[in-house]
Parts: sequence; structure tokens; C-alpha cells
Amino acid sequence: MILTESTIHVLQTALGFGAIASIVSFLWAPVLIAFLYKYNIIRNPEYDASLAMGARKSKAGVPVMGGLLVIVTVAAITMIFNWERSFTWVPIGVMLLSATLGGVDDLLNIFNQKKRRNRKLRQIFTLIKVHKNTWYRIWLVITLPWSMFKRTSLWLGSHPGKGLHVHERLLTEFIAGAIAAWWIYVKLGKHWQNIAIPFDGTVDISWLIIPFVIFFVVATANAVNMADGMDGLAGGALIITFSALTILSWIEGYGEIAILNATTTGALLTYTYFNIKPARFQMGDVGSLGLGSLLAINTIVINHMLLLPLLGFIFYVELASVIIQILGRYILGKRIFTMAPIHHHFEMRGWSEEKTVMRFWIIHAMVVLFGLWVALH
Amino acid sequence: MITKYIEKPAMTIIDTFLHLPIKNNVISCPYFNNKVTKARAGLRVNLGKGSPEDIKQEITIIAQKKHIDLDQLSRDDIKRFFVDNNIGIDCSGLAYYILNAQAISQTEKPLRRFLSFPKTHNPLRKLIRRFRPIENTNVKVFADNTNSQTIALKNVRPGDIITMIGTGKNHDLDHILVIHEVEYDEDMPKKIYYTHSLKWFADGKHNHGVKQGSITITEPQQDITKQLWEESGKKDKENETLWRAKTANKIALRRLRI
Repeated sequence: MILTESTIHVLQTALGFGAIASIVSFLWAPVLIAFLYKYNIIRNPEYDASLAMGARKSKAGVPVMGGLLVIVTVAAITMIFNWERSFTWVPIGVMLLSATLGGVDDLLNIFNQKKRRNRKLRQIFTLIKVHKNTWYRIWLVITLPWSMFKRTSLWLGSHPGKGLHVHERLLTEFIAGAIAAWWIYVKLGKHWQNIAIPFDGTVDISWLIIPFVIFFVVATANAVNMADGMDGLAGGALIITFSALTILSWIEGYGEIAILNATTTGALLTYTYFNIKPARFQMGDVGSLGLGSLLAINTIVINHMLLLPLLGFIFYVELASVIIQILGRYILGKRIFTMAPIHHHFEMRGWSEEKTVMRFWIIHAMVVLFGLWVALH
Repeated sequence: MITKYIEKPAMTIIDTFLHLPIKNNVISCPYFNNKVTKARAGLRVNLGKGSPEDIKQEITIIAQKKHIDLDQLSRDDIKRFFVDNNIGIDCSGLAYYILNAQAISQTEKPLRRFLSFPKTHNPLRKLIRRFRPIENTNVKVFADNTNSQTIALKNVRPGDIITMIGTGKNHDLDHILVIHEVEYDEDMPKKIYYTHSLKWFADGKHNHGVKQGSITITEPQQDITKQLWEESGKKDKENETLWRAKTANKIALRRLRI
């Protein structure tokens, strides 16, 4: 890489955006914290199994939706100073869409008065046989596939609470991913449809970009969501990942994306300052789903989606641990981990929260460094 | 007088269920049957089919979730904690673990290799049973002729089982006992010792679980229910295991085909 004046200028700009984002978010973080406390936007221990664990009892009553600090800061700065149709529309659009979904989930969990329940399939079959209203019986038959989807998707979640159910989340995330994929394929240039194969150049995958985008957006958003279970864990790991993405996108010549990644890193620094133990607020689904989607899209833009499992290593480990736990539970009938996601496993085995978080950061940084090395080959 | 025992690994399993170490205390694993909760597809430990390790792990997790320090609980409190959280072992689950250890010891193959589920025709169910044999092995599976054969009382030996189909007041329950020790006198069995998991009415809500009893063979030509049963110091009518045996539609002394 030859460092020309313009490439150095891009880096300077990106670093400047990062610094500004951290300062801006620092300035309005107290306002956000006061707002969250004032409107009682706090974690509800009733539906959070991990909160029941002795050492984590103190987390009950801590505000959620702290992720708004990053989402709002990044969206505002990017829309005002870095708004570019070919590059920043899609990442910000997907981030906001996913964050809205997460926000709805957070608010429902906090303010919804009743548990939302799903009818069991057996009950539906009984109603189809015995309900006095014929039209309702026909309706139940027509909607049977949807009901079956609802019931089976429950296997992927812990328990239906007041918030969005698993099937609703999956469907909405799928729609968010699909809109992004459609926009990328139909509206944006050919460069979006390339995938960099490590050590082997790039491949144009054409329309196959659509399923890839949907898959990675849904998977990464949920992966970050799962990692957001300990003070500082998701924030610190995201700082590492977005820093690496800033460097990578700058080296690959995606100036706008480098600036966007640097802005996100800056805002995340402030977020993590307030989120390390004892946290002043927690990310909530609004932040984790939004930032997970942004991470996926920003990696896809620079054609390195295949490296997402390395660049988002700890998130994918968390996701894999949940999938393995579910498979173990339903196929073998036993726990593979003491508790999933995997950070709770270590906590249950006696690791302190600080030890778990810092070791996860270090492991994550090591793998991200390796991912960066692979990406540059 | 000669005494024969079940294989050592099987004896170790029995001992672990009888003396389950929970922090500073040792308890006998309580009885739990999934007919109470009718849970499906979940963890086997929640279905009354957990191994001693599963049970210890689950009770530790539950205690952590409920902020209960197991170190501070007495033996009775721990047992109550087990029962209140539906953790325990049912009779066929216990039998499976004991006989599995016996099978591995004798043949180096796990018990599931020797069991078939004759009434299963659905391929999906067959697959599920292959993955989760413990949860799908009940007394009727053990008592099926494809898996075990009836033997005469005079031929009994450790590792045999006593199956009771259709016991209880309504004849709607099944039960199984595993014979872990037999005393012989001139090659004839004189006393049989068995292990099982059962809840007696006399046990109350919490004081049940894995226990042992004996059958003294007083009349070798007669049916096994006509012998002298003794468990927890109770004989005859007071012995609820014997009552189960007597009310069974079908009781048999069987040997697994391993």
C-alpha cells in the first residue's frame, strides 16, 4: 500500500470522527442515563434467568437500552457528515431497523403487563376439532403452518416472556436482512456482490449475495445479542472488532466505511466506559441487535463476509455455544455447558465476571488480529 | 453360604445413587417420575432419568438461581429441595444406569446396544430412541421378550430384574427392581437383595427415593410374591414394595439378553 496524501487524509478523518463520536456520546451519556432511570427502563429480573444467579443479583435495577448511546450517536454523525448512498445508507438503514426491533423488544419486556403465551399445538388441534365457530376452525387450519413455526421456534429461545417471541424476532430480522440484501443487489454497484476469498482473490457471487446478507445479518445480530450478558463484554469486544474493521476498510480503500467504523468505535469507547462493572447501564437489544447488524453489513461492504466468524469471533462462539446447548438439550437430553451462552458457563464454574470478560476480550483480540492478517492476504 | 454381587461398576452406581454427595451432605437420591410434570424432550434430569452427575449439576444450578447455599442446608432440607424442584430418579432410570454399568463391565458394550423398542415403527421415534435411550426405556421395554427372558427363581443371580407390570390400586403403574446381591446355600438361592427407586405412601412427601430391600426365599417352588420380603424394616402388609408386587397384573423374574 502506498500512503498518498489522500489515504492519510482518510485515516485522519476517520480518527477525527472516532474522537468526535466518543466526545459527543460522552456529553449526552449522563442525559441518557438520567432518562433511563427517570422512566424506569430497567432490567426485569422475572424473565432473566441469569439475573437469578447469586453473584448477578445486583444487576437487577440497572437501566437497559444503553445501546442507544452508540446507535443514536453513530446514526446522527453519519447522517450529518458521512451520508453516502453507495456506502453508508445500507449500514445505517439496517442498523436502525434492527435497533428498532431490539427497542420494541426491550420496551415490551419492561412495560408489557402480561406474559405473551403461545398456544400448544395439541390445544390448536383440539380447537380445530371442537370449536363451535366453523370460521374460527377454518382460520386455525389455515394458520396451522404459522402456529407450527411459532411452536418450533420456541426451541431456540429460553422461555416466552413479555417481549418479542423467537418467531417474531427471527421473522423481523429476516425481513431487515432481506431489505438490505435487495437494496444491495438491485440498487448498488457490482462491488457489493464480490466476496474476498482469503489467499485467492475475489469472486463475484451475483444474486447469491442476497441469502448471504440475510444469513450474516440475522446470525451476527443474534450473536452480539447473546454476548451482551456481562458488564463490558459486548462493548469491549465490539471496540476490538470495529477498530479492526476501521483499519481493514481504510487499507481496502473504503473511506466512508472506515469513517463509519471509526465513528462506531469512538461511540463504543464511551459506551464501554459506562458499561464496565458496575455498569451504569446495559446495552439492551436495541444496541446489540443494531450493532450486530452494522458489524455484519460493514464487513459485507468491504467484501470480507467470510471472515466474519474471525472478526466477530467471540460473538460467534457465544452463538455456537447456544446452538450446541440447544442441540444437546433436545437431541441428547443433557447439558453440554453448565449454562449458555458460554460466558455464563465460566461464571458458573467460579470465574469472576471481570476475569471472564477480560479473558474473552483477549482471546477475541487475538483471533481478530489473526482475521486481520488473513484478510490482508 | 456363598454370596454373589453385581459387577463392581454397577455396585458403584448403586452406591452413588444411595449416597449422593451434595456439598457437605450425603443423601439418597429421591424418587421422581415424569408422570407428575409430563415434561417432554427436555433435559433427562428433569424427566427423572438423570445420571448422578446430571443430578448434582442440576441441583447446583437450581440452587445458584434461587440464591440457596447448599452448604448451609441440612440433609433433610437438601432432600426437600430436590423434591420441591422435581429432581430425582425413577425406577427404570435407576435400573438403566445400573444395568448399563453391568453390561459395559460384562461385554464392553453399553446397554443400548442390547435393547430394542419393539413397538416403535415410526422412523423418527426410532431415531429419537437411538439418541435418547435412557428416557425411552421404561419397565415395559425391559420386560419385553426381545430384551429379556423369564427365569426361574432357583436360577436367579445378581444383575437380574424383577418387573411388575400394571401395579398399584388402579393397576396403571409399572415398577422394576434390580437384584444386586444373592446369597446361595448349596447352589440354591436363599436370599435376594435388590435396589430400586420408589415412593411409598408411608414415606411422606420428601423421604423417598433409592432404597434397598431383601427377599428371603422360604418356599422355592412358589411364586416370588410368596417369599419373605423385607425393606426398611417393614414386612408383609406394611411393605409397600411387596404390595406393588402382589397387585401387579404381571410380575416376572427376568434376565436381560446381554
